Amino acid sequence: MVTPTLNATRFVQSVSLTLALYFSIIVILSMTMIKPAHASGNVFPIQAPNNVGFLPAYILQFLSVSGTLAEMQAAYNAWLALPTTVCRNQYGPVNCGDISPFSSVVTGPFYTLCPAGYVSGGHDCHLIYPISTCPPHSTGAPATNPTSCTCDDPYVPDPTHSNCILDQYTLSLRIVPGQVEPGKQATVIATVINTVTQKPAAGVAVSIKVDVDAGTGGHAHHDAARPKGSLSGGGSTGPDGTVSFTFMAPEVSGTHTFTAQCDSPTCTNNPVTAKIKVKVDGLELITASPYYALQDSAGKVIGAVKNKHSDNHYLTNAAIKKLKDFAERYNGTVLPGAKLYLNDASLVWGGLFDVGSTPWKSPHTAHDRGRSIDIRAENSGGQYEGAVPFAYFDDTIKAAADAHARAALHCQGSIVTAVCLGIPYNRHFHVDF
Amino acid sequence: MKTSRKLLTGIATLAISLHAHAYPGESIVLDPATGNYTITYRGDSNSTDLSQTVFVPSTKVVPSIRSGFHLGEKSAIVYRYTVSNGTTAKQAIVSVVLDQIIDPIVGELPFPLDQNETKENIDAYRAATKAALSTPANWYGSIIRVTNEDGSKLNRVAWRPKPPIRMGGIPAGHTLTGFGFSSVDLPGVGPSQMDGLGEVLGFPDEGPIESSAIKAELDRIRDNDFVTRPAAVPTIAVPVPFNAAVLLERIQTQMHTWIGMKLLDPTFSSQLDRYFQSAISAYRLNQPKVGKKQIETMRELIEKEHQDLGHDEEHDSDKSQEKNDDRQSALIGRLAARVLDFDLKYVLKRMDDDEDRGHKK
Ligand SMILES: [Zn+2]
Ligand SMILES: [Zn+2]
Repeated sequence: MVTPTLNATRFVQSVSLTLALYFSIIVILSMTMIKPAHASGNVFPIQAPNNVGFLPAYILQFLSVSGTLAEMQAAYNAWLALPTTVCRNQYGPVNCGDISPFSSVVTGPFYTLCPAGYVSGGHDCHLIYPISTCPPHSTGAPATNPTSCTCDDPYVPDPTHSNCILDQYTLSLRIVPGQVEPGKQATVIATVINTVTQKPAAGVAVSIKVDVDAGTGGHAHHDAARPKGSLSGGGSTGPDGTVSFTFMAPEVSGTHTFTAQCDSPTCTNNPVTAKIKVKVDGLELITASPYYALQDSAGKVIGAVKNKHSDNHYLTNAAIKKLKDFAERYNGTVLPGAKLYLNDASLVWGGLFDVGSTPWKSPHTAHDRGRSIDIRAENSGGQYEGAVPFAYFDDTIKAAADAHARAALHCQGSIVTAVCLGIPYNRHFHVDF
Repeated sequence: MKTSRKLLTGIATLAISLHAHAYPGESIVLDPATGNYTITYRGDSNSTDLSQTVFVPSTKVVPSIRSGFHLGEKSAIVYRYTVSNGTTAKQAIVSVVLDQIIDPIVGELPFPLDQNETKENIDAYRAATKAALSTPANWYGSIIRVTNEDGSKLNRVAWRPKPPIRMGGIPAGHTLTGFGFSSVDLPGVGPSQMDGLGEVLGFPDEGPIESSAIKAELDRIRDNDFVTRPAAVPTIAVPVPFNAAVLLERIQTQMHTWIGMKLLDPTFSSQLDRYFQSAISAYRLNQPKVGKKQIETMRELIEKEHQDLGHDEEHDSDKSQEKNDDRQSALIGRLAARVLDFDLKYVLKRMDDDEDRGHKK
């Protein structure tokens, strides 16, 4: 501590108070300058540019000191070094150097002594006080020129502790796996992050819905009744900031869009969307081959229905190879030169193939995985070009069996139960590979 | 009584595939009197209505197959088959299928696929197949090499009557010879498949629901809709360049599969194993005389069980199969014995040939 030696003892106490003030200013200002370990609800007071107030001149005494000058000089220099120090007197701004309590060092060993709370200005005494206010949505302590500010509920400090803001949350969606087969499950994981703290936010209620994109999955038709699959689970985020939903994919393939939002509290990026493909992977287009026909003589793709299902000739690679082996024997031996006329196989993404009159419903369950195809067979009613003649049904089934494929007659709509051989209608070979 | 037995059959059949969806009322019931299956199933996933159809299996045949094999030109082995249908058969035999013929047979061309599906390639493929296979009159042969969805491979040679199939085949009490081909692979024993002609299977709708237990079970029945008999099929690849030890190991591996087929007694197999080991070691140590001695001992052991094995190979006598049946050994089946003896003799012959060539040098 500075202990100046005074030649007038009645002033000793005042000098000590002045010096104590220097140091307390330094301490308070450095508290606000160096980033502290702040209490979570605190923000920095806003410092006005002029943080040194002015008091009219107030010279009390000139005193001489000795021996402690260096220490006083050091304390004063520290005050001067504060970047926010701006000085004024009653005539306006002054150079802080001009109010040096040591200004009279040049002229003599006299120093201005000011009362407690005032700084000697050589010829003036200056009151130094910080002009500070609290940011919006916060309350200061003390009320005037606060040295600390606490955010009002429900506001919280922003990451730099400069402002009190409402907590902010952002939502993101992740789907595992990113693609799912029809009728299988995927998990939709909603993650909420508190953008203020950059930490997972627990207890955030998230809601989600799913819709299916029109025109996807090989279905050119669309209506409100199209199956969208179902979502279950959910609720509020857990300690890790996530909440999971189970998506049960429909049997109908297509791109599905999830739309999620934070309900309470809300998220700044509400709503968030993510897409999943409901798809049988790896299906390939059956390409033209001398072994079979994909189009009739008029150039129409067999089985294709415009604006409904025009991509009806997809199978797995293994199924295509077996189909070719089967068709080669039909073309080479069963009925030399004849081709199998290939009707519906699977749609481009597989899944339920709703060939019937009711959209999205079908007894055609077997055409969903790229392992089945229909082939024209002779009917007793109207005939199709390229249909396998009745006399060669046995041979055709056996030729399929040799390629490890199962061919059977399907007679949708037939009223005769005896293996389609009675009065068949819409009879065709259905082949599983 | 009859009804309850039917019901039990149905339940037993369905129990196999409980992992799939079992819908109420669905069943597969085998009628022991006719041998046919009545399938009751849900034909429409949107309805609980049940449909029904009858599956007439192609297993109402009583086949027997006799395999002939001998060393032909250019180290190829000539395989010949004669197929008979028992007098009690209800269906004519309309296929002879040999599976697991992994390596190409002599003269085989690859199946023209994708960019190779030109008329020239397809014609060449068909001509090559025709030439590579010996086929009885009014039958046709094909070579099928496909990979199933589960990755399993189908490597088969199949013969069928020329269409319409209903007019052909081997009727009950008849025998047909003339099936065959050549292969550079040595014979092993594998199942041959023969089927009859059931009825065309049809459904009055789109058939059972794909994911149903009934579909899985019906598929299983249909995938096994034939009767198997052991036959000699080329399964043992001869190492190139020739290596007696490696070939003996392959023969031994093939021999071990016969235990599961009930063609070889495990104790007899172990006894043979010791000679196999000694012979393999001897050839490894370049002691061909020791190896030869071990093989000859094995052949003597086999000969003790079945006489005149060589006679079967060289003369494809129709009678020998019946004759052989009278002399079944408990330790090794006659076909297995013939195959093993042939394979061992082949090793000796190749070693002798090598030795001759060595002397000439
Ligand atoms: Zn559709
Ligand atoms: Zn179908």
